[in-house]
Amino acid sequence: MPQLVKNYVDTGKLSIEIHDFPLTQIHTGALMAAQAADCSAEQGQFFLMRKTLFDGAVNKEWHDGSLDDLTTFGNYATSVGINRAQFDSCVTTNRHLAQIKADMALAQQLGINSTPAFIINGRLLMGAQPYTEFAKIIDTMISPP
Amino acid sequence: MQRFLPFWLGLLLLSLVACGFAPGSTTTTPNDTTLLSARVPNPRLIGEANAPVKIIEFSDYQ
Repeated sequence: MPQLVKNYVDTGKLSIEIHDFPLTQIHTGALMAAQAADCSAEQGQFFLMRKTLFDGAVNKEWHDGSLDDLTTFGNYATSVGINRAQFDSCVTTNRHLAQIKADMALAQQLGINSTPAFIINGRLLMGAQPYTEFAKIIDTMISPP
Repeated sequence: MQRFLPFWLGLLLLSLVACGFAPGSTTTTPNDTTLLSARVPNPRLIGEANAPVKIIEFSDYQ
């Protein structure tokens, strides 16, 4: 993603919008993580919290959406510099659950059943992809052969 | 009267800022349940909204 941002986003050719698609049947903590990310979005730190959540998952700092995980996410909120009380209130009241459900409904409507998945100007691309694959598609869309 | 105008304008601006109506005041308010994807600016989007290519990424966190 950093390369895409540098070469395409920063040059005005590309925008990237993140939607939630927590795979709740196999990842029991993913729904709460999505809420943590969205609750950080309303305080302007969505992308930093997103990275923190991914790093935390790799390091097994959180697991199943338990109360311990809620505390961990609260600590993440503090570390990314957002208002902890506002964050906690947002998560515990499910303030962005409607957004997550809307994202999930859109994903299902588009035939997406795994992550990551990408819609690039309407074209579906499934699975993690190298930078070169994105660059090839984007270049073709910007300057058709 | 005219020499008091800056004072009254200043007071009006302070009142507007306090109420969140002034130009440039933040659009983020606690307890706002508007879908994030419907907000302007969209806090889950990076780049120009009118960029020629748009990627929507669907992601899980685990």
